[in-house]
Amino acid sequence: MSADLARSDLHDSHSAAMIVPIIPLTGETVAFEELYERQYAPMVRLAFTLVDTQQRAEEVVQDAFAAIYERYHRLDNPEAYLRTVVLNGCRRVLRRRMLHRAQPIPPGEDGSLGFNHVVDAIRQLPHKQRSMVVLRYDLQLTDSEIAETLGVPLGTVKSTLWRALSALRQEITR
Amino acid sequence: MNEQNDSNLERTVQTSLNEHGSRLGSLSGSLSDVIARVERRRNRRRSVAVVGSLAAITVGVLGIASVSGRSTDQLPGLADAASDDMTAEQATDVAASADAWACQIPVTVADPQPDTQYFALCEPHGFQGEYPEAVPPTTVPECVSFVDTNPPIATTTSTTTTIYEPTNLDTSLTDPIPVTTLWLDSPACVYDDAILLDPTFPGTTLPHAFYEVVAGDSLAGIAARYGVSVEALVDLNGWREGAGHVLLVLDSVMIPLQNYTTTLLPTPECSNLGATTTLPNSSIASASCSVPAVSTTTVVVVAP
Repeated sequence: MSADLARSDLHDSHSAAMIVPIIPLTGETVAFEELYERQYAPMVRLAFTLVDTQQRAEEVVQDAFAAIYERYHRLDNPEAYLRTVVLNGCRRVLRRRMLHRAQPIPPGEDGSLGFNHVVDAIRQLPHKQRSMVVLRYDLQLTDSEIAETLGVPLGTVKSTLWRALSALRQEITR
Repeated sequence: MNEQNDSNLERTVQTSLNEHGSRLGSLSGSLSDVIARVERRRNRRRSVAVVGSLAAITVGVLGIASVSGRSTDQLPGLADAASDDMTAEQATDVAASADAWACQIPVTVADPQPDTQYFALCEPHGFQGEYPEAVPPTTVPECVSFVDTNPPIATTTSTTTTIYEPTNLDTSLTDPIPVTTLWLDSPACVYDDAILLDPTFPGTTLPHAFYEVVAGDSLAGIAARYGVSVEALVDLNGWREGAGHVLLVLDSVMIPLQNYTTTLLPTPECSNLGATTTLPNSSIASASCSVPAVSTTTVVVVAP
């Protein structure tokens, strides 16, 4: 792209209001909007399970939608891809929190700490187990849908979920 | 473990997740927020590409200048080679209209004024103004301009070994943290997976880059591609399974990058971010800063 072209492209996008899609409205944009309508709330709920605060959860999901926006037309299964991007986003948040040590859990909107032993135990699981548990029990996906989302064989889903439940059982009954 | 226990446990998990999910308030995000984020991602990518090439040029000049003990402006040939697309006069013109631009990266111009430091500026988020006319559109990439500062800010390397994360972002973090835990994807610098290390872009490295796994990748393959050991990847990413870690498509792998230097310059726009870090034997690097609600750009560092 020449600098001239780049500049005019940039000018156009800036002069337009932020809410106007950068990509011209086409079938794929409409489909993207549908995906957003359908999946935004479930994805926020998924992220909320993993990252504590609603604000952070919404940020993760917004970023995930932004990440898939530009490659949307190349995705065979946008929903599965979206779920994976959200899970990875949550993982980054969790990892950063670990690095920053002892960050206090912010209180919920009602002022409570919102501590949930089981949810906390789920967050302690390794990434793959954690992802599968929330996909299964939060999003109610089937084993094969989980396999497709994470790009792993069906058997891996079953065995990983089994290990995750074993670990949760140990943690919960401790 | 019998089936009864299993289903009880599954019910417990289900109930707990439902209970936790019920704490969600009404959602505030909208599609327009997503579109705004798409725009920011695009701008960041532009900034990275542009800044990467500028940083590479600057490093070359300053590196040689320090070896010879002469300042950059005594090396006109090199300075010319470094930047033949903008004069100091043009840069000064641009400066007048660039007040709102936040991030600054030291660069070299063809005919520098004495005691003047030149910076590349990245455009703020949501920048809606006109681009400065003084920028020759055919030679200067769209998101970068030049400005001189007075007094000049030193760009020589230092031996400081700690770095501060921008304090306006993470209120819990005020202590210096080792440079190895610098998260370039912190909201002020590079958010999430917007910056993926591009091995095909010469001169672009980041203290920690993220690589997004694609089908067919292997741990050894990724390690080889970025010139690091598998052990280094395992250490950095904290994989419990060690070299046996299974990569999933779209996983983000942190890539350790050695021999870099990065400088967060205390500037009027970024005074709360100030701190420097330099690893031994590095030459020079660049700046990153963010002014809340105004701008974000990225760090680009060139290995010696």
